[in-house]
Formats: sequence, C-alpha cells, structure tokens
Amino acid sequence: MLKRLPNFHAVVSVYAVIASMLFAWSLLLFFWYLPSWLHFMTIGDVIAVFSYVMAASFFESLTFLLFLLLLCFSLPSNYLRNEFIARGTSITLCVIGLIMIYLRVNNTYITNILFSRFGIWPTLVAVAVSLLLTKIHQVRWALISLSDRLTIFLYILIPLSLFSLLVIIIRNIF
Amino acid sequence: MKSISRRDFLKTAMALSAGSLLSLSPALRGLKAQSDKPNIIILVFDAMSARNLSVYGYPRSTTPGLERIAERATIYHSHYSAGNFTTSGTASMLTGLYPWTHRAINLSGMVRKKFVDHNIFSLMGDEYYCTAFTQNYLADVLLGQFQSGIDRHIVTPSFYDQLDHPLLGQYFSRDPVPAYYGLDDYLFSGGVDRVGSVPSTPIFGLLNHLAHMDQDFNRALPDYPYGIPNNTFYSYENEVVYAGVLDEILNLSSQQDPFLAYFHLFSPHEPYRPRREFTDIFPEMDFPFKRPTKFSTLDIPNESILWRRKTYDEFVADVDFEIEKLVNALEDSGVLKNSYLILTADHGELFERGEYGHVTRLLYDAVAHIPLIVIAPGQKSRRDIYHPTSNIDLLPTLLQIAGKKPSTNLEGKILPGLGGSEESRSLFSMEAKECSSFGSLANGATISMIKGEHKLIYYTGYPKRPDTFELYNLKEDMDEMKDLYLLDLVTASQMKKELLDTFEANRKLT
Repeated sequence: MLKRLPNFHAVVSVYAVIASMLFAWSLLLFFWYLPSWLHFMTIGDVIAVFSYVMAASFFESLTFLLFLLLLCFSLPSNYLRNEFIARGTSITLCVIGLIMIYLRVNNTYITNILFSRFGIWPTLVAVAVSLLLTKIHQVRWALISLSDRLTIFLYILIPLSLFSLLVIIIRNIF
Repeated sequence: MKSISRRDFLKTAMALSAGSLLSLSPALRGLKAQSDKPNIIILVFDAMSARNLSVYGYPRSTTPGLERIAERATIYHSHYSAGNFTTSGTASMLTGLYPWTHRAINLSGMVRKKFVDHNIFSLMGDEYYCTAFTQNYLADVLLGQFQSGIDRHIVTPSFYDQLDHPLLGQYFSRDPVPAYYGLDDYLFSGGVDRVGSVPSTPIFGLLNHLAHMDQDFNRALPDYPYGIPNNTFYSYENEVVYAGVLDEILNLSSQQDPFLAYFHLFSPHEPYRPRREFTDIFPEMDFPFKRPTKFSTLDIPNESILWRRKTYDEFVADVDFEIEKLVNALEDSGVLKNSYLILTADHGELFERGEYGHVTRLLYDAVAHIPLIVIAPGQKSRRDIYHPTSNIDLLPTLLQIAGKKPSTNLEGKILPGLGGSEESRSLFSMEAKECSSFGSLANGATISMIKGEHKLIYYTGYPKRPDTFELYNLKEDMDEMKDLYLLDLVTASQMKKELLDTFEANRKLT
C-alpha cells in the first residue's frame, strides 16, 4: 500500500508549501488583530489565542496534505505520485491560492455567487491548467525549487505547532 | 451480566429515593444555609425596544403579559441603554460604566483589561452564587471575560434545537475567551458574517461558508411560518429555552442562597420569527414616516420597514407570552418571595429613517430606550418611575440591594424606587462601532445626551459628513420629528457645551 504513496522527502517538500501558505495567512491576520487584543487581553490570553490559531493551522495543513495523499493513492502513479513534488506543489498553490483570492475578495455574497453559479469548475480548470504547466521543464524546476526552499520553515512551524498544542492542553487541564 | 443481589438493589433504591427527596421536597430544601440577602434574577431580552411594548403605551397590544406583571412591579418609563448594540449595551449594564470608559464598542469587543474585575458578578463577592447564561455570542465574550466572578457559566449552545455553525469554543470551557477568539470568531469568522471578516483558516473557513451557503434558514415550518428563531449559530424554540431557564432558576433556589442569576435571551432579536399563533395578530398601522438622515447607512423603503416592524411586534408578543409564563411559574414556586426579578434589555430596535435593527449609527429613542421592570420581594402593587435612568445604574442598585458598598468607580447611580433619589443629571448613550476601541473615538461616533425632557444627539468624525447636532424635546415630540437645534438656542448651547466637555474628557484613553 505504501508503494502507492510518494516518498518521505516528496511529502515533506509539498507539506512545506502547504504549511507555509496556511500559516502565513493565519499569522498575517493574527498580527492585524494583535494590537486590539493586547489592549483587551492579558499576555497569557493572547498567547493562548496564538496557540489555538497555530494548532488549527497545523491541523488544516495536515488535512490538506491528507487530501493530496488520498489523491495520490487513488490516481494512477503517473498522474501524481511520480511527480509528486512538482504536481503536489502546483495543486497546492492553485487550490489554496484560489481559496485565498475568494476570501480576500472578502464578500460572502461574491463567494457565494462564484460557487453557486460556477460550482467547483473554476478551481478544477485552474488545477488542470497548472498540472499541464508542470510539463514545461522550467515550471517544474521552479516548483521543485520553491518547495525545497520552503522546507526550512518547517523547522519553525512544526515545533511551534507542537508547543501550541501543549499550551492548549495545559490551559484546559490546569 | 453480573446479577444484582437483594442487598445491592435495596442500597440503590434507597440512594435514589434519598436523592429524589433532596431535590424535590420543599421541606428539605429549607435545610440549605439561609441568608437574609435577597436573590437577584436578571432577565435580559435582546433588542427589545421599550417603544414597541404596549406596557409603555405602544398602540399595538404587544405585551399583555408584561402589562399584567407591571401591576405588581416597578416600571421605569425612561430607561436608556448606554449603547445601541449588544456588546456596548451589555458591557455598560454589567460594569456600570459608559462605553467610552469600558471601551467594548466594537462587534465582538471586550472591556478593557483594567475593568475585567469591575463587573456585576465579581463585585457581588463570594457571598452570592452567580450563574450566567446568554444566547448571544457577543455577550458571551463578555461573560467569558468575567468568568472568574461567575460560579456557573452555562454555555451558549444550551437549549438549542439545531446547530447551524460549528462551535468549537464550547469544548474549551476552562479557556473561554481565547478559545472563542482563536477558534469560533477568528478562525471561522464565527459565522457572524461581520463586515470585513475573513476566516483565518482559509480551507476550514471556506468549507464553513460553503456548508451553510444553501441552508434555508427562512424555511417555513408548521409552527413557524417565517422559519424557526435563530441566533446565527443555532436554531432554538423559545418555549424550550424558557423552560430551561425556569429549571435553572428552580434548581438554584433549591441549592443556593443567595444567588444572582443572569439570563440574556436572544429573542426578540432579528430574525423576527414568531410562532404561528402570533403571526398576523396585528392590523396594518400607519406610523409617523421619518426620512433617512445623512447618517443613515441604509435606505430601505417604508413598506419594507413597516412589514419588519409588524413581524418584530409579533415576535415581541410571542416573547411576552413566554415571559409571563416564566414569571408566573417563578411566583407559584415561591422563588420570588425572596428574590428581585429584573426584566430589561441590552438595547432597542429601530424601524425608521430608512433603517431597521440596531447595527446603525443612529441613536434615536427606539434603539436606546429599553424596558426596565423590577419586581421586589413580596411586591403587590404597581409603581411608576418617570425619572430618566440608564442601564449603567443597574450595577450600583444591585450592590445596594446586596448590602454592598457601591464602588467609587461606578458611573451609574442607584435607581430611584430602589434606594436612589431622583436627582437631576445627564444620561449618555454612545455608538462608535467604526472607531478603534483604543483610539480617541475620532472615526465616526454618535453620542446622545438626555437631560430633563431634552435630548441632544451629536454625530462626529463620520467620513464626508460634517459634525452635526440634533435637539429634540422627548416630552412633546416622542418620535423625534422636529429638530430644535436651531430653534431652541439656549437649551441647545447649554447641552452642547456639557456634551462636548464630557466627550472631550472621555474620548481619549487614560
């Protein structure tokens, strides 16, 4: 069964892209709210909010990774597994990027119209195009290089997530 | 399965019988520690405007129940909220402070750190057992902040019918404020659909939006032609909620003495969804037409406003029915013999000048004028108080009732009729949702000041709008139709000076 999944290095590389995008989004918003929270909450409470945010982003990134691994598992090897770093990165950038654009438009009604009128098709078309782009050598190289470089952030994000989980557990037990 | 011996059976039966007796027998209830201090029960009805209650003279008979209750209560006819929406109004009521002091002025806002222990629950002290429950998430943020003074904080999704949004914060009851902000409000935008809200978890947040995109909250049901009442997070039935509240109070009275019970109930807040028997009970009526002002942010056609007003009135009638049932049950159970019962609201609701609801820059009477009805222990006759009072007066009054020395930091006064005097003073209300809560309230604020029979409204800092004053005589012109600012120059200049001086003294954070 494990043969249907990509190797560990590939998984880590793609996870780095997922985590970097999702944590960056959460942190960006966190720091937007921070000045207000500092005014109304104790430092302990602010650290607790930060912990909830980090923990949720951690689970969110793992969920997306799981989704990609399920795709890998279900599709023929040539579709995704054999080119997991390039294509996984491409799908990640495309799907999470589109979601961020939808949310950045920041109007529930517009989001609703986009989804209710066109369904999931805009996303699927974008994913298909991005996958086709990975056929181009330079694009594939760029995607692999990007995921490789983003791996460094995992050295911060994973310990931070584990620390956040610890903070949540401690605050809810004691 | 292991068989139960006769001895085990008898032991279990005796234990169960003893438990039932302890909880049910009035005689045994008397064994709890007795206190000479009265219990205090506060029922807050979200967005209930005094202007739409027949107990205050509204032409539609929306509150026959409250009218009967009023015959054995003290009625405050000129009671005002210091804020025009849940956060600011509730924070003022619970802290006894004006919004410019506590600074809970934004949606989902909290009071300043220095006032966290300055609230009704903490100031009651250890002597009082405090229970608190709210169906409104904005108010629950405040209860979370005040949790150290609350002995039992009943989670918001109690008594619900159907959960419409994920509520993760409820699973972290030891950590309510960070869990609410970190999860429900911030990560998923709380489902509150606030302007400018972006979920901080893009995937989970979007899935949350999509999951509820097609939900038809307005679907008609046999008992609810306009849909079932909903507080954004969950659907609920008032009958179930009120029965739950009654159970809580009866349990409290059998186990704790004295106690403070605070219940903040969502109805008649929008969406206005009365039960079938309360729909179409009122004929169409004409109300004075009031044009949108330059500070109105909406321009809803008058027909639409009148229709919303009618459904609101029907919803109020529905709530009134439940209130009377609850009060009668409390009376029959004997709880009110040693309890003050306080019926009030956090803010009102307006249907005028192109707007409806309370998320507004406007501070006209309908959105600030709230009910206050107090039943003192053993009270049998009606008492009417016409002197203007504010919801910041509730805390000092309760401290007085509880035999505590009112804190010197309180901005409210003891209510007349409950130990206070009818001294002349100015009352303020404030709307500043668009301002930074820790700034100098310069980006759009509305302040109203009531002094005697006059009311001055001051709009300041709104983009592309000049600072503006309006003056009304509430006694002669209750509907605030005739602006006297340029007609009664003496009153206008005196009130303007006082309002500006007070605002200047408080607008900057100290």
